[in-house]
Amino acid sequence: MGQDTIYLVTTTGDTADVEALQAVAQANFPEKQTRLVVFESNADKVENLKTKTANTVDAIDFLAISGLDYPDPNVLGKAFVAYFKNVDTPLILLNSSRFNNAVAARIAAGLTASIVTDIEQPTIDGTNLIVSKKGYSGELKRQVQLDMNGGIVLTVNPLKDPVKLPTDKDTVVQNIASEVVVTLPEDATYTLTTNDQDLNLDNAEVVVAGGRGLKSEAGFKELYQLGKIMNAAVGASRPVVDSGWADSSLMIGQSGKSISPKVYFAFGISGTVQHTIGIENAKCIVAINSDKDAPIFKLADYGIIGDAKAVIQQLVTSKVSN
Amino acid sequence: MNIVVYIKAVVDPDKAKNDLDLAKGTKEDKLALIINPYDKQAIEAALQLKEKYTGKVTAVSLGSDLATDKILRDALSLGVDEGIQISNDDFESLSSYSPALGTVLAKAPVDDVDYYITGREAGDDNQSITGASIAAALDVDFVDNVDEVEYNDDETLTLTSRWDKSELKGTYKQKPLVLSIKDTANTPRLPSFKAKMQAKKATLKHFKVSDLPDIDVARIKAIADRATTINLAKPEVASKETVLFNLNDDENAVSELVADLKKHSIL
Ligand SMILES: Cc1cc2nc3c(=O)[nH]c(=O)nc-3n(C[C@H](O)[C@H](O)[C@H](O)COP(=O)(O)OP(=O)(O)OC[C@H]3O[C@@H](n4cnc5c(N)ncnc54)[C@H](O)[C@@H]3O)c2cc1C
Repeated sequence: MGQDTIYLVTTTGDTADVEALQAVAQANFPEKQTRLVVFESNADKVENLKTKTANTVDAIDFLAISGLDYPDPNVLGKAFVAYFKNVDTPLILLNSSRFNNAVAARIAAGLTASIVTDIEQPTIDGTNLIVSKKGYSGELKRQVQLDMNGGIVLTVNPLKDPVKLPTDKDTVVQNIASEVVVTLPEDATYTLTTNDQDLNLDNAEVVVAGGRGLKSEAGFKELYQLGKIMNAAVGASRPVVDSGWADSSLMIGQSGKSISPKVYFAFGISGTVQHTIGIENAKCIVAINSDKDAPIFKLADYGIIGDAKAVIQQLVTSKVSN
Repeated sequence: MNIVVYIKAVVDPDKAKNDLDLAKGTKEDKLALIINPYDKQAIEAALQLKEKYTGKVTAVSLGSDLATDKILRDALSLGVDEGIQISNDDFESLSSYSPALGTVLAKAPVDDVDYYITGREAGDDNQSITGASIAAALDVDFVDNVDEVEYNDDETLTLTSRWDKSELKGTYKQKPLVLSIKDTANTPRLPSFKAKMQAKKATLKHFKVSDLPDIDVARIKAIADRATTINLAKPEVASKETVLFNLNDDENAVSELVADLKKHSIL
């Protein structure tokens, strides 16, 4: 077992991303050395990360991939596999996200390591690591036992409570030039689809989302007016997207986004697990539904039994502001 | 063009949550088994490729005979040309927590494959690793989270992958290629009654894991044994007090809600 060290892999140099990973490592593996492995092509971000993480990890390896200036999952996967090839049975953590899960899957496959995505509560039990993971989109919870005599790749959900990070480590920083050959399609383009400057589902404190209960495209579109007044981002359930009333980037849930706003309004959304798994981290849930038995009320902090359209209209005319 | 689509039988989530033996696989009920919902878009993508360029679609499914028989016939009824069952009798389990899964699936006996296709994830374990695992075993390129496919005249594909916050688009010329398809990529077709009847009578090919070419069963078993599910249960849900207003008998319900939210600094 080469697991005195835990490897924290990040595909962005964002400090928030790194801190979330460090917190998981500190809370669950306080006795292990932490080694941060970073892919980040932006020099400013690299410097910033060096300053911010100084003395909080044992080592940082900055992986430079010449010819790659955006995170292509295939190239990143190969570069990380090459990096870990000589590490005996590594224990590797990434923050869970669609993109990171895809990179993690490639790393595990390349290293013949076990992999569990979107886990919580990793605990060591002898030579095994036991992790919790949702099954059936959250209907059930599963515990998976992983033998630490082999490599392990995990993507981890963020901790709910903050953890104090160590501040007394001698951080050794290395720059490593990856030898991986960058092969991308000639016409490859990479686009960021969310712009941090604009209000969106990832950064909005208030989200107003609509479901099939809004009945029509016109009914759904009234949410935009409400969103403007409340300074809220607009979200949707799957049938809304499938019916073409909204773009798929607005979808919340298992097949869409996971969001963590301060308050989430669900207008005419029934509350199946495939949807509610995306709003687990919302601090407050407000449900508006004409059916008093709709499952969404079980999760809601506040609710109005009634017609969603009427409620939207009243909120708009009363100019409720945030 | 030869296309392989991998499909998985899963227990219907509504049945799984009410009968843990079904979810654990200690009990099997044909009626509770469905095709993994995410695989429907994978099948549709495979059929569209075949229709665009002509070719053959083979569906491959690993699992118990009962399970794979059912869903492979579903796939045939949609227009898939051939079904291959791979039974995992040699193993207690072959889970998606282990890289052994891709090693086995990659050995499916189909010649000269151009595209290997999977769904984005399986609805029972929500892992989203199968495509990567197959691609690594085959040592070929992998494009995942594919949300849009453009079929070019020179038989190349222009693919758009969509992630949480970014999008990648490019034209892939290399073959074979492994694709995993998002469930928003297309609208799956429905089978006709006649096709369903024909699929019932079709003959499936059947292999045991140990029958597959160049397979090292002992090694696969050793790798697979490193990851096991030790518990599957209903999650504890904290019961919540919901502050409820009723618009049907209280015309001020909306303003009362807003006042309450403001009072608690939620708005
Ligand atoms: C593999 C898979 C993945 C999925 N992924 C997602 C996902 O990511 N996101 C997602 O959202 N879904 C997802 N789904 C679909 C999910 O299971 C539900 O079908 C969907 O969330 C239901 O959307 P809805 O609540 O808008 O519609 P419905 O379930 O039809 O609910 C409509 C609600 O509106 C209420 N209503 C009707 N009229 C009114 C009115 N006048 N005023 C107020 N309320 C009214 C009804 O009482 C009902 O509760 C997925 C499904 C599968 C199989």
